[in-house]
Amino acid sequence: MKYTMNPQDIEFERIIHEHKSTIYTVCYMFSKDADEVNDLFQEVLINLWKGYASFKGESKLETWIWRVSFNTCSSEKRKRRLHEDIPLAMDINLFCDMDDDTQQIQMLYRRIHRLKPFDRAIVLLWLEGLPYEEIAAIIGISVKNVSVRLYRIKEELKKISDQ
Amino acid sequence: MTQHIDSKELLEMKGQMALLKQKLEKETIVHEQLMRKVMKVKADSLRTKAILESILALTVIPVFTWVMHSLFHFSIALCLFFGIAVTCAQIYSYYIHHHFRPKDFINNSVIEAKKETLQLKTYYANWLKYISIPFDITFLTWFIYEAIQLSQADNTSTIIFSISFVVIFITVFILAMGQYFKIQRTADEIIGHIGELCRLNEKKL
Repeated sequence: MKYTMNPQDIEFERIIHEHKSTIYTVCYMFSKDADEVNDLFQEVLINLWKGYASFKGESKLETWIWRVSFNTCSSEKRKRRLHEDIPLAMDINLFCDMDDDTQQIQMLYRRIHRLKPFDRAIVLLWLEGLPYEEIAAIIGISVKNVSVRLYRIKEELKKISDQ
Repeated sequence: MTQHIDSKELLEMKGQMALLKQKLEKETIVHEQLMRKVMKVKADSLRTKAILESILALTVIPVFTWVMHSLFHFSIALCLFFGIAVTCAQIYSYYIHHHFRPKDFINNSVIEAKKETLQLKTYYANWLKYISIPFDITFLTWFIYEAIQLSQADNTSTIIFSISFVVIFITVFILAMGQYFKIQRTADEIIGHIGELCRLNEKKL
């Protein structure tokens, strides 16, 4: 008898490979160190996998991925959960590597990390180049609210840079 | 607001974001760990279902046995046969899952995990062929025989109970068969993952 992978699993793997940088970026921006990034990355993938079966395509796939990633990374429960020691990650350490590119990325990290978690999510989506309507759909606030919050975030980022 | 959007800092951040994306796109996820985790989640779901079914069955046995014997006067032999058979089924289920440990999917070799999954499939298939179906036929025949005997001397409540019991029994049997095929399918999927992992490891070598 030939055993094959479920077509849904194959499709899920393809989606994860396609969106891995989005997921990793969110995990990175919500973590304090490399271990936490790996922890979060693992948890987001598991949550995506658990939710994928019931994902009915009511929203865009990208929107759903962003939403699950943000929800997992900003969840309070996550902090109380016991993590199993399974490295489910990418072989990269953006906290330790010291090449020029990584130094630039670390500068971005320091800027974003000084914001509140909710604002971090908004600025990440804005940096991704998403329109306000889509940011509003992912975060669950109105378009007007996105615009107001972004204005304040940009002011704050400017202050951080001036410091 | 446009002035702020195009400010130096933000343009710099956009450039840094592009660098981050570029760097991450080159990376690959540690595939084996992801697949192992997926297999573990599937194995966990099999175990959870088995535990819930056992709890349900062990709650139902005393109730049904008491109702059958005390209220509707079915023979003690039939009630014991029913009670012992369902209890044995739960012990067997415990035995199957004792050897099928979801944690092994993370820590052990994939060959070991495949062996455990194939064993689980065989145990379930043997249970269905050699124990469950013969028991169901024997019990149902015996039950119907006693129900006919009792209904000749007793009131209509025994007939109603007997018909209801037979309907419930057949419904549970159909549900259990569905569950059986689902377990086999999940086990096949796990074995499919293991096969994929083996192929990946061969490629690495």
